[in-house]
Amino acid sequence: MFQNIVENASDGILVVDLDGYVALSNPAVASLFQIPQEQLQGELFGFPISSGERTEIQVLRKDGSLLVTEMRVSDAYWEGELVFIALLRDISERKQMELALRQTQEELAALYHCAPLGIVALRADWHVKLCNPAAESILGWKADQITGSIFSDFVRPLQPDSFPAEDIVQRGATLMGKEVRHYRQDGTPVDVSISLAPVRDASGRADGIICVIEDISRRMRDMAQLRLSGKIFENTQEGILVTDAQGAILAVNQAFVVVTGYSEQEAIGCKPSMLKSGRHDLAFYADMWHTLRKNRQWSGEIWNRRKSGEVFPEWLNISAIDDDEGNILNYVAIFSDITKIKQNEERLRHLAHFDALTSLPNRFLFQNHVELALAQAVRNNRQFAIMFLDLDHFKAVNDSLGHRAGDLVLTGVAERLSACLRAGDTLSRFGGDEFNALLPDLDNKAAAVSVAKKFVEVLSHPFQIEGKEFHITTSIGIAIYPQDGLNLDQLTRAADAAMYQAKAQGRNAYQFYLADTASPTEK
Amino acid sequence: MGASVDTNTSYLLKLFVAGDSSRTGLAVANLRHICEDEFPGCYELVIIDVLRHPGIAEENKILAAPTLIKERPLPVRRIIGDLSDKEKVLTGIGLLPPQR
Repeated sequence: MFQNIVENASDGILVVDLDGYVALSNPAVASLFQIPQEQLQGELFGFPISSGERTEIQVLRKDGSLLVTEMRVSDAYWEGELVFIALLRDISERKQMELALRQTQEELAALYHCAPLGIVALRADWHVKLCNPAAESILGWKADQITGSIFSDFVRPLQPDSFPAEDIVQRGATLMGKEVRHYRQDGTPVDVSISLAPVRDASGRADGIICVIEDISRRMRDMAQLRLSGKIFENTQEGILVTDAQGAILAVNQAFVVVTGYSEQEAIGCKPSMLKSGRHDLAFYADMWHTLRKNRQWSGEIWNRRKSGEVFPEWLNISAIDDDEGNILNYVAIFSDITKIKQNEERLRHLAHFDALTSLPNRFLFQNHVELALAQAVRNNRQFAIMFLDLDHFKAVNDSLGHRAGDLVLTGVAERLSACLRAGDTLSRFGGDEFNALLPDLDNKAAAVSVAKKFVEVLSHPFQIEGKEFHITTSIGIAIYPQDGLNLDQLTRAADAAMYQAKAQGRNAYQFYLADTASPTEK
Repeated sequence: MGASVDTNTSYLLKLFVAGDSSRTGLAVANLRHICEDEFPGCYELVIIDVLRHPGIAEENKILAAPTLIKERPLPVRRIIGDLSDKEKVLTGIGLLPPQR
């Protein structure tokens, strides 16, 4: 029977005599050693010893491999002799599993300690078992403060009533990335993303929970910043376009669409040259790019063309966006339509030189023209005339009909007088009912007389204002360069004096300056 | 320790181990300790790694490691297993009478 048990045992059995020779073996041990059983018989194995109940030895197999084997040793009397029985069990698989398990444990421990994620192990009743350093730092509680306590007492957003806690434990559900705001022990807030997963025991029941916590404060701040930037981009009054380093348009804002007339879809992928007006030469653009590459920035006034074909002025600011290595990634162009500003500028320039009512040159521009005529006359040895016209009894028109009618008369006078002049002559209004004419480059006085007569003649016809007729006459004073004065001041005084003389003589007349005639102010 | 060993005798011991594991280190340390205790100054201990010297292992018909062979004094004896129990080791290599 003993032999039978030995034969059929799954463990290897070696019976060794006092000298260490194999007295009996079984098939299991033969297969352990990869030696035929009959060959084992009488083989010198050695005297098996073990200090405790069992020990580990390494069996050298025939194929050269090693087999980790557990050996139990006992002694017995067999056929009257003291023998030793070695029971050998292959434990290499268990060993390998132990090794793999240890390695997994090492890896998990490294992960647990080094991960930037907070890891908290909870029992099924939500008491904290373990908490890694990252969790301590994110949650603002030390492991020894929270270990053994209910987790939601420290992490308020995990209160059972606001959280499907039961689902996780009872039904094995997981919770992925719930974003909540947590307040640390010191009161500082931190935005975290919390994930929970059940840990199951051998029977598949959840007997714990792993909680993974990610600090997402930075991401939340970045997102808020992005949202703000996006709002600014969309809502600013300035047109914005963003290109890649090669100049292809990547994005435009609503103001761009409004100003240029191109839709976002039309603009994206195109080059900003789609807006070229043709008003600037190549040198202008070369200079712009040179400045942009050198200073990473350019700003200035530029004329562009809308989709409608209309050319408009804009104030443009272009910035280059670099990466950390200084390579240009993008260009950002911000522009405002300055059409209105330009129009205002033009209006101001006009107001500075022209009479607002009649659009005739004002005193400033008239004097400017006189100075020019003077310089030409000196150079070419020619003469010229200036005439001062004062409308007779104009005050009566204003008083009886109001300023509106008066203005209409003044505009009408300006039109009729202008028609009498050559190109190159200047008619101006200084204000009130005074007009002034400059006749440069005259052959003789007679030419001036001819103009003065025309002035009188064109005003002799009545004006029709608001269904009524008005008769207007004028008194004209004429001064001739060089005989009546050699500079603006002298000529002005002379023309003025002559004009008063014409009035004194009964109005509706012209009068040349007479050297002995003093102006009324000088009387 | 009342071992009946002759201190004039030269002891030659060969220990066959497999690889350089902590188990091997422990077997070597245990054996050195026994030798220093029992045969100070008159023993020779040879350690053979069966993985590095498979030929020697085969010559000596080594079936498992650790195997300790006492070559001198005669008779040659060999033991296999755990070398931490000095009495069992000495008994095994025939330097103490077997106990029951």
